[in-house]
Amino acid sequence: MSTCQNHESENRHQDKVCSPPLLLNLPVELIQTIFSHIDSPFTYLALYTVSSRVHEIASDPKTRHFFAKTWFAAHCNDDEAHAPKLYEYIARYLRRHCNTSRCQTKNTSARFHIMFKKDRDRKRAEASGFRRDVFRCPSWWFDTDYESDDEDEDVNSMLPKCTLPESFTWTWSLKEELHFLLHQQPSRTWARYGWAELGVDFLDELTKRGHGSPRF
Amino acid sequence: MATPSTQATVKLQSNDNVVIEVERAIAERSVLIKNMLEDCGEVTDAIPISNVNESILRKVIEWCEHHKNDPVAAENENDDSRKKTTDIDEWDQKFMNVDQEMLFEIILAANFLDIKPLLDTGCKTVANMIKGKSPEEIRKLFNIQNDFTPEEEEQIRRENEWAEDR
Repeated sequence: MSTCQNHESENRHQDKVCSPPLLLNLPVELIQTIFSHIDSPFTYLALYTVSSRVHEIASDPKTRHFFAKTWFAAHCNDDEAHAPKLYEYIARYLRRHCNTSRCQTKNTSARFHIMFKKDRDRKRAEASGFRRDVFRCPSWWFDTDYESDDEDEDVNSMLPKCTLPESFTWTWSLKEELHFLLHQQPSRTWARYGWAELGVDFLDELTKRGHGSPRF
Repeated sequence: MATPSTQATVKLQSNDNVVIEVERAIAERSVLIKNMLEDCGEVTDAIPISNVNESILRKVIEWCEHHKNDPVAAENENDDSRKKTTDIDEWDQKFMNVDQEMLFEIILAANFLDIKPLLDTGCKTVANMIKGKSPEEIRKLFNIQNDFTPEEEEQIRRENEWAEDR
């Protein structure tokens, strides 16, 4: 039988601190289901530093897929108030992944291949420059192999089936959403949204090419 | 093959040997019980629910009673069609406003009895408790020991830096 202590709070769930840790006594598949319902990628990532057991479960590709599917499904067709959050997260995800040398040929590029096709000409070199500028990251990222656990990942499993647009349309959508984000957040500092401003410039350039359709 | 039963009620026996009689339609919110009744036809004996004690069984029955007229989700229903993850019906929110021990017992019972909507509601409730909390707050909430060294913790934090506002 567990012992619980009361704490002052309106919500009884949060009033209790119980021993033993009941959450971690649940079967792993139930903990995965719980984690998949967390409605914030930032909270999800906070799980990583809770404990080694929580980290093990939350960083498991299967748990991450559950979470990504649920989160994307909940936000892809959101109203405008929520859409920028989705694209902000995608852009941050890209910023995180695009700086490793391997990601350009691995699953990340398959998911977001417009942004990550290898540079073969000047324009693409410009795109590469954009990546360095916009998705800037500390130098230690370059020395670390972060993609190793994605080797056997089904690239489609991270994305919902119904909502994200086709690849080139996705570029347009991202641009629109970044515009929206910047428009809605005029008081935000450049340090926070500078990458979004640069992203808009880049996407503006990309979407001007060809006959109204981006070519990559 | 068993003949389809028309019995109006079924008896459920908790693991502390308490027998509770409930409407069949209510009991059949549990896919486990529904399949059992379909396979066995008329069941006069109490059905042992070996993993669930009386108080949790009564709580689960209360939920099933309230939701007995809800449409049953198709087995192959696409998870992508789920509503916003944090959406929990007001009645369910009150129902789930219990201490952690009971909350996790309800989740385990829903899993055992195969009552997916109840399981989802329980899991969403726990997820909502976690939402917006720092690692330290999550540890405190669930009484989890931080077994990372400061170096390990710092390393993980740096790996996740890409998602932080900077």
